[in-house]
Amino acid sequence: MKNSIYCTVLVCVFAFQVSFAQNFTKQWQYVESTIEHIDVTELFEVWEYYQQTPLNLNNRTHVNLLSTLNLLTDEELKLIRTFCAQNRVNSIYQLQTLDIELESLRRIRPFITTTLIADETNRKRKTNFYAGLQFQTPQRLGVLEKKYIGTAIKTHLRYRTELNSKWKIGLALEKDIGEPMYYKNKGINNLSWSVEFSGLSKLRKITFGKYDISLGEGILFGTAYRINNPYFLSYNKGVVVKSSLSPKEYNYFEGIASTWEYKQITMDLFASATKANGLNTYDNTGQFRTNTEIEKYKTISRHLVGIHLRKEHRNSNFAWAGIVYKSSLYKEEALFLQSFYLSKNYYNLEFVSETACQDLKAWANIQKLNISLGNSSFLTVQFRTRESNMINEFNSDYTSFSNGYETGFYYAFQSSLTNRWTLKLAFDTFESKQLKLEDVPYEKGRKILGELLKTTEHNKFVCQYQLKQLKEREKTQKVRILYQQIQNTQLRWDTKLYCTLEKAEVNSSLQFNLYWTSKSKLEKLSFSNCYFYTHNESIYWQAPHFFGSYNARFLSGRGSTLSISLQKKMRKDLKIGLQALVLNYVDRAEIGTGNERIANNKKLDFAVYLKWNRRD
Amino acid sequence: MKLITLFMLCFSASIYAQNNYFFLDRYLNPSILYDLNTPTYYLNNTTLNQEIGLYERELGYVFRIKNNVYKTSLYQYGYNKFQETSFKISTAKKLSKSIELGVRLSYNYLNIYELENLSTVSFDLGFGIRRKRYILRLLLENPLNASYIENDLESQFIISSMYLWTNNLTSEIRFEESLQSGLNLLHRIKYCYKTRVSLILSQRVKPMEYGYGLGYKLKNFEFYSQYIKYSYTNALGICIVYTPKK
Repeated sequence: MKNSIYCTVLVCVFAFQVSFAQNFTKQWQYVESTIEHIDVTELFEVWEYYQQTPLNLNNRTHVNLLSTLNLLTDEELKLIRTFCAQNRVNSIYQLQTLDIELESLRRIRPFITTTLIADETNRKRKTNFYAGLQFQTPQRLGVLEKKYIGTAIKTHLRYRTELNSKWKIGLALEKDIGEPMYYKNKGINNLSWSVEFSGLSKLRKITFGKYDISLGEGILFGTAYRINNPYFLSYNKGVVVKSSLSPKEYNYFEGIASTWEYKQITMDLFASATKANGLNTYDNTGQFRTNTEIEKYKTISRHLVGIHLRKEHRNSNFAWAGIVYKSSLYKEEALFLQSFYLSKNYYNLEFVSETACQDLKAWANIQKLNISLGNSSFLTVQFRTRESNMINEFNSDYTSFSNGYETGFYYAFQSSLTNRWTLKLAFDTFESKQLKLEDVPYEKGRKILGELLKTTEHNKFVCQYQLKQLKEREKTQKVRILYQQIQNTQLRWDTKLYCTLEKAEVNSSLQFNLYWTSKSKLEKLSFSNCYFYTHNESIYWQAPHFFGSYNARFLSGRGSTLSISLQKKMRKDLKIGLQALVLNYVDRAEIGTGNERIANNKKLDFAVYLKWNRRD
Repeated sequence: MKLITLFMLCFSASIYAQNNYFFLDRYLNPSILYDLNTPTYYLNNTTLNQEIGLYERELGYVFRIKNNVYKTSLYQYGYNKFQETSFKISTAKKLSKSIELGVRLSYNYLNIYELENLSTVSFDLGFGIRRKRYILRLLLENPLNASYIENDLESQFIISSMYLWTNNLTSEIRFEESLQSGLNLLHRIKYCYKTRVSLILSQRVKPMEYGYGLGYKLKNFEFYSQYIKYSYTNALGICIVYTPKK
């Protein structure tokens, strides 16, 4: 009830605003067909941020940030970077002269500009507000037996606005099913806020509140959202500090951060004080609903102060970061962390290196060589290593199975066979460096990945294959086939087949998604159906995107899923969405265990959202 | 022997062979009804195991009322001590130029000699999308998993894509995800000789099964015959289709 009142008040506050509406259908359509595992809420957070703060094609740092959108291929990114470095871009439509699909340019259109900051005083202010609710039936045992402290509704509110061309503020609030909105003595549940000021002489930006840090290749700090495509792994270089309103409850920083620029040198200063979840280890479940679970909520204090210096030349970059980090979990002295980063371009070669150390005692390292072969082929060779006593709390994942502590060698090849066909091949060998008991050998193995992709104006076909072989273990094979067809401007559908072979057992799922848009483009309807059958490995399933819902599951056993969603623009500025998602198991009488147990083999998840986008 | 006779007959027939082979298909997608001539009567009989007398047969009638096509059929499966009977009624509607929707309602009755008499109602949904040379069909069979007792009535999701290479040559790949038996893949090639005689070859992947079929037309009658090598038996089936002249 309190949630409903809270929502209504916030909705009323912003309801009078006149605005525009932007959806990310094109962008989502692209990402969904190329990447298997996507954290939708995080990705949309990134897009919304850059929609509000577009990237200036005349700013080299901004052009590098295009990769963080995850909407262009490496080849397209390279073309745009080269073009922007050599030309003054007066209009974004100049990009049409490049050998890039028009569809790719349409995808990044909302996120780019050519306007210099000095001219930005006349541009329109943007504001958006989102309110989402989710609940499920039948309810979980924890709710029915009142073991959960909070209500059985998941709530998510987010507000972001530009006060003027220099100041931006944002606020987000989220609580999961069973969690209270307010924890006694521990404050409001999952509250994120940020205040950003930019454009004052040498002080380019100052950020207060929740933010992410991405240094170099991310082996020390890489908390900003990115998609790792293991079929051709290449790091998306991001901004060092980026404010965040993401609902994530770990892997973030909170405090103050500033970016200074002087000639070719950029300096970032940051300080953060956060409380992490957990008692003896970090708890990243993000669910604190019972008294026992709440004991772990925000108990570990983490403090950090750091500096990052970067010097950019035309063909080379050098960066150094020094960070003092203290966590109450270690009960030791503060750690002194350093990162050394170097990148050098020489014709069609690019060499990148990052070395990180902890008190000069533990080390992590990555070396990468990218070679551009002809007009449409790329080769990347990467070597990585991380010692077992090196800090591993905020690093990025390098492979789809990595826990970070390993020595590995990865090489991948990508080539456009014709205008329509692309081939990717990747090979990874690794050996774990995780601390082990004596006489237990380090785990080692290899992975082979292949992808064949066909893209035409109306359809897309993707066939992916993975082979993972660990020493003295059974090998695992995975096949993913996706076919996407744009029937006409109103209708689009795709089918997905996942198949995993482990210990001679086949685990599979077959999915069909249908997307319909009305002629007026005011209504959108999506339908999804999936049947799954697994023996010994879970299968990843993702429903059509629905704003604010994670919508993806790892499914085990036998059963089917069905989802229907309707999104409608009520006014030019206001959008509403409704979604029902049914999960039906045929191999069990009840779902889940413990407090999460549902005394039925079916469950229905229902979600609704309201979204305003305003420009004035 | 039957096959040889049929083969001889089909070559002597100077008639037009139609595409009604799918009446022998166990998982007929109701959205396909839109392709059929009406009225049409058909009867098929497949012997699955001669020793115990295991069979599968269906008698059906396809008709049109205004713009809607309907099909009613009586289906039987089993042997003298175990018999499953289904009465089915299905219909299809064209939603747009390239999209068809079909639905089938079944009343299923199971008789186990001197033990059980069970019944249940189930439904199937079919969906078809056409491009110039390409047809995609989806079948949601028994999506609510209706059962006699528990999980004893097939519930599966079938995606079938058919490609028309030429006017005579068609290939089909079918993915079947069943809640009872998991994933299966079927591919099938159909060739029509001078649009008179048809030959169908099919293969399943898990378990490895294969089959072939022949079809021909004699005046208003069409005759089809198929042989399938299942992992557990050899099945021989025939189908007779009658389409009266209008």
